[in-house]
Amino acid sequence: MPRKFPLIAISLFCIIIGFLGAQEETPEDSPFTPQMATNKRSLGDQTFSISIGPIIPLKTILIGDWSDYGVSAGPTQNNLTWAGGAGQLAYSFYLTPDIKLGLQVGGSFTSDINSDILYMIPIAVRGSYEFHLLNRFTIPLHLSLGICMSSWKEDNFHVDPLIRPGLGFYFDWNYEWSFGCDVSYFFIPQFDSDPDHHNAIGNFLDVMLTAEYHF
Amino acid sequence: MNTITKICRILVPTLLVFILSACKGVGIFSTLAITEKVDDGALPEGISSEDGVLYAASWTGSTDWAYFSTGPGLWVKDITDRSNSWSKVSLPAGYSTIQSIAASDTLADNAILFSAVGEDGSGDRIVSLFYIDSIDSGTGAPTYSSPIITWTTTDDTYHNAKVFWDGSASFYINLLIFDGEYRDDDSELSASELYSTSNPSGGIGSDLGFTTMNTSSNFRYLSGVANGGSGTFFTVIDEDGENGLLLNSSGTDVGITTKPVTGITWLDDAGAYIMGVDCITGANGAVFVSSDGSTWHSVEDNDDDDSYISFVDVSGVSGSSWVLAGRDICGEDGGYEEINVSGDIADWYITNDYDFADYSNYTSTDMPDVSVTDFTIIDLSGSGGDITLYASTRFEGIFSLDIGSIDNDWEEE
Repeated sequence: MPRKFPLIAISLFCIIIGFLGAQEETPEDSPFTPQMATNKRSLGDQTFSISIGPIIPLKTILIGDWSDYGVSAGPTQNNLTWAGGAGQLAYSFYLTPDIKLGLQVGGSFTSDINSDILYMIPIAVRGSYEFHLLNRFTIPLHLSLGICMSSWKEDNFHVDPLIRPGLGFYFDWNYEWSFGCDVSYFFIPQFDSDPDHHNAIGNFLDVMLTAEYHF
Repeated sequence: MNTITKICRILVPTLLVFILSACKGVGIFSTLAITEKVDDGALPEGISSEDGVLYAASWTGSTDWAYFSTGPGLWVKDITDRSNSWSKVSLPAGYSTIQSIAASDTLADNAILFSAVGEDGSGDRIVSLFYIDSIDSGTGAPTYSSPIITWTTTDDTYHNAKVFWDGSASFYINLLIFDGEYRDDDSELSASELYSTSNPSGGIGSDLGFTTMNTSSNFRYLSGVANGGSGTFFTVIDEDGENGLLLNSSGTDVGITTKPVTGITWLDDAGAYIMGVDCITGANGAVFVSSDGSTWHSVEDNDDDDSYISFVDVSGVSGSSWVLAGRDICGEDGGYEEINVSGDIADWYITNDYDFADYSNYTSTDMPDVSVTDFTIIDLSGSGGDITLYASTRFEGIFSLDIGSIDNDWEEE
């Protein structure tokens, strides 16, 4: 039985490649019919994307000791549930066929151990370098710089810097539409707290399913 | 393009300044990292207690029992064991809501007085004054007195009655008389009367007749009364809640403040009167203290947006130097702050730190998000028990803290 799996996988791969190859030889006008060289971009092309997916809290890095609580500076638990929800809208334009620049606005929520919600709204400028493979696939490398507004319980609101590198993998369905997945890491230094030992670095990872429209 | 650039040059920095100036509160990620799991407690979600936990310390018939009112409900708990649960007890027959309730810590008998709303045999709304006559030793269920006095709504008049304990010797009852039909938006406060009693079973006497509380131009609500080292003082506010007066025991304006203070409290161990200003007027950020009732000092606070409505002196029971000041969420923040009272009264200040209770536990509870309406200390150390501080809130029930415990945690009741 286990021997059948490689055979099935190879068969499926051949079918998919054959399907894609066949599509390239018979281009049609329908927006849902894959086209030739669909991922060739040029200066002035623009994109708008919408994304949704989970956000995963990583360890918090404390800058100072909480000596009264026996917690030392360094990586520690975040006391957030392992996953929350996130969404994002992004607009970009191509500077070269492989480089695009844009603005992204998102929102996320994550629950803590007492069911209080941590809300975050990242707003960032995003630059991307794209690798275009087989005319049908795009692998973008992102780097976003901006701010992240965080709110937890009713009394606490902060605006902090945000550095957000990421990686994506997209299938270019046709010239207009691409569908794929982005994984990005949130680095949020929160250094304006008073007293100083309240300073910390928030770390998160989001995994987004994305639909991107090119125009 | 130049116009857009100019607009951006103005708009972006303005937005940044606006957003950054909105930052407030604790460091979120660090505080989350030390957050503790807090038990939700056994009381129903969303209940409020405006009058605090009631304990008649000198009433031998009640030493095992504490009460609090949510309005439609009166709850009782056997406080000899902190882990005991609260249970709901019935109100006097024919009455559906406790309007106001207060307990004496010095009276030897009948030391819990309250006003209740009900209907008479004709279906008319009535407001009556009761005291708890006796308490079932097994369940804490009270037996109520007959109504001390009843005010009946007519076609053009209805009443509200608020009960106060002065902290020393007397209950005060502020009767508000409205002209118009009950719940009619056009009804108006037409009179404010003040009664007192130090023996509820003997009645409430006649209206004290303070002219400062009932003038033709500005009827006033009593917001607090305190009897301390320099006599009794009353705080009153006008109908719109925009102005206030501090009155002496004769009802004479002593000219200290025109701000609408939320009430006045005598702090036994610190030896001072204390009062805070209501936030509904925008005159926030003020706490006033005085050791003699004539010279008042403003307590330094770094945050002018806070409004303080409840105070408790924990310096005598915790070996600390703090008075806790409960905040109204209608100001910037809820929860409480700690006032450092270690120095001269003129130098008292709000610390903006949290050293009295475990900090991570305090921020993990819902207390910082809601108004803390009252504090009560129940000291059972004389009988081998604990000293427990209860904090009553609007919408988040009751919290308690075992003063002197190792963990120093607030627990939700």
